[in-house]
Amino acid sequence: MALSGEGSDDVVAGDGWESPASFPATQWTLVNQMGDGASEEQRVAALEMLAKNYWYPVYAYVRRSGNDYHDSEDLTQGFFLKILKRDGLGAADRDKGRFRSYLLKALKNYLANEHRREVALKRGGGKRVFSIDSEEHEERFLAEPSHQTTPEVLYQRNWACSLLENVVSELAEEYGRAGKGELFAALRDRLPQPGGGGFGGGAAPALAMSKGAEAKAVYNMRQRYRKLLRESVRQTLHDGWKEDIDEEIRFLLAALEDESDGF
Amino acid sequence: MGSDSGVCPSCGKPLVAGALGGICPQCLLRLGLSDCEGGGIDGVEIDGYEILEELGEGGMGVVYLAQQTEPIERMAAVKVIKLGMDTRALVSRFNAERRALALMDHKNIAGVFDAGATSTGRPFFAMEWVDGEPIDTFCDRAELDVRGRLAHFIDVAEAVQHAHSKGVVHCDLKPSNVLVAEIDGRPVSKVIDFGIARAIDPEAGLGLTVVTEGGVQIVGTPAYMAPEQAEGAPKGVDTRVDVYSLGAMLYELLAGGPPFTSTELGATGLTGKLRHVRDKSPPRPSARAMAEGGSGRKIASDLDWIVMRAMEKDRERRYASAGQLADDVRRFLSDQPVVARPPSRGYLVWKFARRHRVGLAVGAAVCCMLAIAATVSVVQAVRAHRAEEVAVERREQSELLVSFMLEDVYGILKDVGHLYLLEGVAEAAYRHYASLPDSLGENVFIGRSNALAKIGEIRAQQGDFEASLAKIRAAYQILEPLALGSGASDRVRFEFSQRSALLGMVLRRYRDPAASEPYFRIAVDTILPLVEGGGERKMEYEGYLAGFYNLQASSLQMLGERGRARENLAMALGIRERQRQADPDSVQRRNDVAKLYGDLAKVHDDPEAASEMFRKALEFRKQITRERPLELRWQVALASTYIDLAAHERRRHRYSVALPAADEAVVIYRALLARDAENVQWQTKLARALQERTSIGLWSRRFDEFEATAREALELWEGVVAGNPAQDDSVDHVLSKNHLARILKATAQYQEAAEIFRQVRRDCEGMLVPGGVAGPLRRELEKVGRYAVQELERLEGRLEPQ
Repeated sequence: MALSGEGSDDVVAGDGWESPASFPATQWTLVNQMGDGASEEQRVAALEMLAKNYWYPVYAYVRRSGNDYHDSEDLTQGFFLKILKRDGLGAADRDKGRFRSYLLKALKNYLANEHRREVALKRGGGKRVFSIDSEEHEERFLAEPSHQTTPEVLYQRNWACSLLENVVSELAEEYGRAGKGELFAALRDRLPQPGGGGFGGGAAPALAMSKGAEAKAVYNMRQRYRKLLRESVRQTLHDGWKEDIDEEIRFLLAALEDESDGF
Repeated sequence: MGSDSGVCPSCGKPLVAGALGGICPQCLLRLGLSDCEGGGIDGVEIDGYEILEELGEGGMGVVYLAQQTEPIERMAAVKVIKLGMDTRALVSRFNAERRALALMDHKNIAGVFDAGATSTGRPFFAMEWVDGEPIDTFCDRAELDVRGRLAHFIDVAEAVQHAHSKGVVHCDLKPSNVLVAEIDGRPVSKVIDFGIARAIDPEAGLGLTVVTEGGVQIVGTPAYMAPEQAEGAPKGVDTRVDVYSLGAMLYELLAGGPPFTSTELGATGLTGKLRHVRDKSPPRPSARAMAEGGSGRKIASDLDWIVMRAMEKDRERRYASAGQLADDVRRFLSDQPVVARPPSRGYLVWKFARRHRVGLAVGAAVCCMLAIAATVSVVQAVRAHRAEEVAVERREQSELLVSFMLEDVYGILKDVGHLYLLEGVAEAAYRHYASLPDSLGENVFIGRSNALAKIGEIRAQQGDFEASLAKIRAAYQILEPLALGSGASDRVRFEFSQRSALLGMVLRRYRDPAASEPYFRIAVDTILPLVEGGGERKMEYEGYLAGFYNLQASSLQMLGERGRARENLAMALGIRERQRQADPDSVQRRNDVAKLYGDLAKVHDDPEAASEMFRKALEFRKQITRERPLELRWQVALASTYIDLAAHERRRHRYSVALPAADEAVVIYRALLARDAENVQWQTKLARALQERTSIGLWSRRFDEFEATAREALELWEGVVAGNPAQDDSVDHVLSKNHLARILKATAQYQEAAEIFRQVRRDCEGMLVPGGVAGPLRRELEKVGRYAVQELERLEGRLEPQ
């Protein structure tokens, strides 16, 4: 679950990394866990995980669909509660097994059918199941670049970003657990591009590393990141084949790049 | 970085604010695609490699850190050549040398393991990644003293020696091609870029760094480049260019600056630079160090000698190998006389005294003795016979000096191939002893004989066989009446046995085994009573006896007397085995035994037992070469056993055993020749190994596969016989023509086959005149001559209709 115990930077990515125990098998398992035979604690824990990872895409969709700040917050709470209770989820088409699409469809159903009633019930003292910093999300929503963007496109884009954020913070935690938080902080920005990026070679003098060792550490970090990313994507797919993962990533890339179009 | 500018530095897209903190999400996502290889740096993409980082830029290209992903995962330094070069030709040249490169396995060499083309068609080399710094930077940063620097240098020189022993010449050695990395907590030097220079420029063998001035483009690093490289000598660049560059590197490590500074070279333009390297001598390292100032290192004059010897303009005067350079540095470190220094007597005595400064009493005594001897010149001693008393004293002193020069110094110089330096000493010694009256006793005769024998050996090394034979015969004849008379002393008999054996060897090599055999017999008969007499020198005498038995056996074998040869060898083996068991670690003892197993195998009647003996010999010799990789003679010995084994197995029709054995010998001799392309002795040996290979081809009737081998052998023999060939070389030359002609005939190249058979017939006629080749070689030639005549008749019959 972490960097190899030796703490050596020479570890080539893949060696010394255990498969991430912190991830459940797939998000589908997570959803199923919330049903039959699961204890209340297990269900809440599973849903909290889901809510934490995908709160913002859901919130932004609700918000962009024309709801105000407070309604959106309540609706998002309500939506995740609904999932927790598995109400109406069976009706959602699993859409070739993509959890992202599944969640969006469920959200649309929820908003269309239960919107008014839920809002009325929840407003002014509705039950807060999830401790989410809604102000932070609202700030983020207000900073969204284009107001022309449809709720759906916004949802897809934010889904992608949330996924990435989760992976990066998972990676940061792994490094932290291995006592290499500093190393990660110094090299983090070099994740996306090979080479020295904007640093003109040699990231942090504080690392006291040779240029080569540093490049290798970046390489290792990137390899680990790729593994985590693909694993995360796989978890949102019913069949986590290699081709499916690539297809999903390409879809998310398109969602990020093309602001006018959405599935 | 990115978040400030708002644009991703990689893909140029605007960045999204949020928890990703300014990292571009598109780029992050793209990394997850299974075909993502990172996209490369500077647009460099290579199949099977992921380019990670630029490590540095040199004159000839850029070096990147990369991860090799196929066929195995490992870190690599990838050098992408930016010269406008023919990539395919370059890569195919590299591939031609790949086998030799793969043979290199040394802790101080970072191997080049791959070459190919990038996606844009530029040539690249991939090598073991060394995470270190250049050796000069390292030495300065670590503030190493002279001894520390020399220790690293010895590692480097030995690494180069190892490469040379595998037939790989570097051609671009310089401090930046030697990296020091920390491995297991210790700094370890690694030589990089082996094989690259030769792949880039096989003709001149020049180095890599491009120097471009006024449109002229040459490759090389002038400050470290041997003069023959600076001349662009199209042929004959050999391992000695590396010896020069090692010298230049040592210069820099000691003096703190390269032999030629950039101001010296820079002011003169390119041709001027090269002329400078060719014609000017750099100041001695100690002088340069003083001029550099502040380094505070004191450089002993011996180190000056070593550096300047390695950097001799005339490569003949350099150390013959990187290993010898390393040895000399090691000698310096242990206070022994360095070879580089002209062996003045005072110097040798001084070194001797320094080495033995611990045992002061003994040291001082010996020192005094030698110092007295050194003050007495040979000429003075000759004049000293005016009073018998004085004569005796002077004579003893002179003799001490002469034996010092002709035994100790002789040994050192023989190893480095500079026996000629002693020519004057040997001749002066002979004149000295000749001028002494016979009445002074046996010492005078022994002295004369010994001096003549030494002159004879020197002549042989110079290639003057007639003069050599005359001197050695005279040396023998001086002692003959004394030794054969009754009451001869042990010393006279011992010396006489030596002379007999030496005469036998010379006769066998340049005349006839039949003429040599009686002299070996005399050597055996003379020394046998000394062995039987016991005494404190018994062991030593026994060793000589075994040697004489062995020599005699070889002659007997050539004369077809296998039974007697076997008896002699069995006796010799008995002695050698006893000696080996008494001293099992001795390399020399094990080699002696190995030689005897090989010789015995050659005359054994049971082929299977003989094979077994060859294998035994091979085991001993392989082990020795593993223990002493730097000493060439063990390689030569190993190769000769391989050839003997190959010939034996061929005669047993076990070609699948014979061919690999012959190939091993070929590899060893090729490696030796790579060190010293003009060495006739090694050319001869390679020719013989190739000839054995051809024989295997003929016997196994795989004619077409061996035509190239036969041609190469013949070409080598042509070169050898153009010089001053021994008789067996001339015969082998004819035999190799015969081989080629037979292959050509078997592969239906009748025209050329007939032409060569005609040459064979002509050669045989020329050599079989009365007084020409004698003994078994003559019988061999007669056979070949008859065969050629028959074949010609058939071929001419076949060719006529055309």
